[in-house]
Amino acid sequence: MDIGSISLFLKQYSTHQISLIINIGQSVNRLEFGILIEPICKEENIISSFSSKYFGWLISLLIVLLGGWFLLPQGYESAIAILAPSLGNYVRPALVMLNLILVNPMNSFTMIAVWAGAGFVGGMIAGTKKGAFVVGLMVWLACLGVIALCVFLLYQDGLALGTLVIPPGSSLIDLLGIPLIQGAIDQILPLISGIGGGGSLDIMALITPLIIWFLTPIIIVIVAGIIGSIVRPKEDF
Amino acid sequence: MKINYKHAFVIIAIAFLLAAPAVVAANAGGAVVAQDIGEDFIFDLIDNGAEIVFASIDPQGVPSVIYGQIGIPSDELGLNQSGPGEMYDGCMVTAILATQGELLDYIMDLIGEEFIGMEGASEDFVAAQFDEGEFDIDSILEMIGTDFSLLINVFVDVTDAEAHARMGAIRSHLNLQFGFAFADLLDLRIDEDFFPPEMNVTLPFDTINLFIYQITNPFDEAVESVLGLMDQSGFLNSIDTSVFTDARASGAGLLAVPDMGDLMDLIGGFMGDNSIATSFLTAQLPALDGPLAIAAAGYIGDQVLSTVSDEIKIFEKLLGKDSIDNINGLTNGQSLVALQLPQDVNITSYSPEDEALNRTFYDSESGLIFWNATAYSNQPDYTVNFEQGLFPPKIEIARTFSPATMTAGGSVDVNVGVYNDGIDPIYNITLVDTLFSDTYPNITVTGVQSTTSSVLDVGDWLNISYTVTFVNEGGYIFYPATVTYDYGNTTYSKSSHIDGYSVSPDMVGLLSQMIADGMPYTALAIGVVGLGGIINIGLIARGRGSGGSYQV
Repeated sequence: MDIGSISLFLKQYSTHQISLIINIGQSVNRLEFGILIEPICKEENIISSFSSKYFGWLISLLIVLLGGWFLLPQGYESAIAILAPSLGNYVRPALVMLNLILVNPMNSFTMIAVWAGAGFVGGMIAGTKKGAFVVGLMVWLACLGVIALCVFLLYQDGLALGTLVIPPGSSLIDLLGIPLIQGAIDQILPLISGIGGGGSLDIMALITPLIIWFLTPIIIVIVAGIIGSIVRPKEDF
Repeated sequence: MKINYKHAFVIIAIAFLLAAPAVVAANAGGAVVAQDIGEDFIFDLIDNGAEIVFASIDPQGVPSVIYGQIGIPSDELGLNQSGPGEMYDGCMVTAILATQGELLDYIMDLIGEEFIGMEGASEDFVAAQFDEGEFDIDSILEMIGTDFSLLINVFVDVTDAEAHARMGAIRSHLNLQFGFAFADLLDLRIDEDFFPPEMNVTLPFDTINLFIYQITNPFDEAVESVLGLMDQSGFLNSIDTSVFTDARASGAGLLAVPDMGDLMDLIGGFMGDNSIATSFLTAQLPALDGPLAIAAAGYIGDQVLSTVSDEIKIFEKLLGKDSIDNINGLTNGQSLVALQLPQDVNITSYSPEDEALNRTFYDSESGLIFWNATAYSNQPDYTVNFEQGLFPPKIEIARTFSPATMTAGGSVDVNVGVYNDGIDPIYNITLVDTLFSDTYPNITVTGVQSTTSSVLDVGDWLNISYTVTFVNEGGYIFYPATVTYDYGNTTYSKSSHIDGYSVSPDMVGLLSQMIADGMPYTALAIGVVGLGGIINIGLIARGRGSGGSYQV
C-alpha cells in the first residue's frame, strides 16, 4: 500500500499545550495522530510552594546533622570519651548539637561551612528568597528542638559525674581542641581573675560572646540560603 | 610547706630541665647521683654540646632509659636566626612534648615526692584551693590525663600580629623540616588590659603571647620528629629509636630557648631581684647567653633482668643496638653513659673500665656507673656484670581484649594472664584484676576477676577472664592487674600496664534508642515530618502540586 507521505508538525492549542501532529497518507485519505504535550514548566513556579520549602528544609537539616556528626572537632571527641561512660550515649548528640548551635565565627570554620552549605542547598531548592529565609529559620529551629531533646534525654538518663576518668590516650588538654573553649578562654580568664581580685562578675561580658555564637548559625544559614535562591531561582516560563 | 606560684614556677622549670636523669635515678630506689660537677663542666657541655644515655634498673628488673642531648641546637632548628623579622625573635621558649602511657606518672611521682624532698611531709603540702586533704599528684594526673603531644611557644613583648606571624613561620619550619603537623589548642595574649583595673596588676612584661598546639602526628612519628631535631652524629647512630615508641610508657621532648639571657631577665622580672629562686637560677647560669636546647626521649620498659641474669649490655639490651654495630659518641661534644642498678646488686665488673684514667666512675654506694664515652670509639657496648639471683623470676603479666574495639551495646572478653618465663616454679600466686569494677561500678562484669594458685610451673599460664558489657560509648580505663607470688623467701608483686578500651558510637542504635526514649515527643516530631513527606509524595504521584506538575 502506498501510504503517500508522513509529516510531523507542532500545533499550539493554548499557552500551556502543544500537540505533536503526525500526518500519514494523502491529502484526502490522511490519518492524523495528535500527541498532546503538557509543558513541564509553566508561568508559575514548577515546585509547589510548600514542597520546595519542605524538601529544602529536609535536605538542609540532613546536611547540618550529618555534617555536625561526622565533622565533630577532636576536642569534642575527647570530651565524649571522658563523659559518655558516666553520662550515657546522649552526650555525643548533645555535643554535636552544641557544636552546631554555638559557632564561634573566628575559629569554627568547619561548622560555618556546614551551615553555609546547608543553607545554600536549601535556598536552591526553595528557589525564592522568602522560601530560603523560611528554610534557614526552620532548620535552625529544628536544631534547637533536637538539642532540647538531647538535653532532656541526658537529664532523663541521670547525671552522675562521680566516676569521670580520663581514659588512656587523652588528656584534659585535648579539650582545648573544642572551638568554644578556645574562644571562651580569652573572655573567661580575665573574668575569673577579676573575681579573684575582688571584682564583680560582669554577666554581660560573659553572655555577649555566647549570644554572638548562638546567632551566627542562623545568620549564616539564611544568608547562604538567599544566595542559593538567587543562584538557582524557580524557573519561569 | 605551702606552695605558691613562685615555688610552682621554679619546680616546673627545674623539673623540666632535670626530669630526664632524675626520673631514672628515682626509679632505681631513691639513690642520689653524687657528683661534684663544677660550673666549667656545665658550660663546656653547653658550649660544645653533650649527649647522655641514662639507664636505671629497678629492683623488679624493669628498666627506665633516657637518651638526651643538651647544648647549642643544630642549625636545622633555626634558633640561631635572630634580629627583626626572624621567627624566634621575641620568643622566650619553645617546647615540644609527646608522651604516652604511664611515663608522666613516674615523673610526677618523682616531682611530688623524692625530687622536691617532700616525702613524709605531705601533711604540710596542702593545695591552697582545698581546705582539707593532701595534695596528691596522682589525683592531678588522673584529672588531666597523661598522654600529651604538644607544641608550646611563648613570645614576650611583641605585637600580636608579629607573634602570630612568627608562630606561623615556626610551625611551617617545623612542618617542612621535621614533619610535624599541628592543630590549634590555645592562642592567648596577656597584657595589663587582660586584668580588671581594680586588680591593679603590674606585669614584668608588656605583653605575652602563649601558643599551644596539639601535635597531630601519631605518637611514634612525633617522637621520631623530636629525635630528628637532635644531633645525629653520636649514639643515635647505634640506637634503634623504636624502643622509645614501642614501650607502653614512653615520651620525648624538646625545650629550646632562643636566648637564655632574655629568659633569665624575664624570670628576674617575674620574681624580683631579691627572690631566692631567681638568685639560685641566675647564680647557676651567670654568663649564659644565646640559644640553648635540651632534647630527650625515654621509656619505662618491661622486665629485662631476672634470677638468671648476671650481665647487662646497655645499648644492646636497652636501646635496641644491633650486636654487630659499634658505638661512637658525638663528633663534636661530650658523650656520657650512665647505668644505675639497685643498691643491693653486687656489681662484679664493668666494661670498659678506666677508673685510673678517670674515664669511668663507679659509685658502689649508689650502684651508679658513669662512662665518659667520648674517650671510646667503636665501642661494642657498655656492659655491667653482677651476681645472679637478686632480681625476681621472669614473670609476665598481660591483659588482652577480644574484640579489640567495639560499638556501644556490645561485650568484650578480657583475659588476664600470668606467665612463668623463669627457670623455677613460683608459689602462692594471687592474680587480681578488680579495679575496673571499682572504677565503673555501674558496668556489668561477669566472670572471674581474681584467682589463686599454689604453684605456677615454668612455662605455665595462670589466667582469668571476664566479660564486660558496655552500654555506653566512650573511653574506658583498665587500671593495672596485679599478681603477687612467693619465690625463695620473698614475696614479689608485679602489675600489668594501664590499658584503655575505646567503645565507638552506634549511630543507628543511638537513633532508635533516642526515638524510643524520647516518646512521645519524638513520635510527634516524626509524625509531623512524615506527614509532610507523605503529602509531598502524594503530590508528586498525582502531579498536582500547586504548579500542576513536579520537578526538582
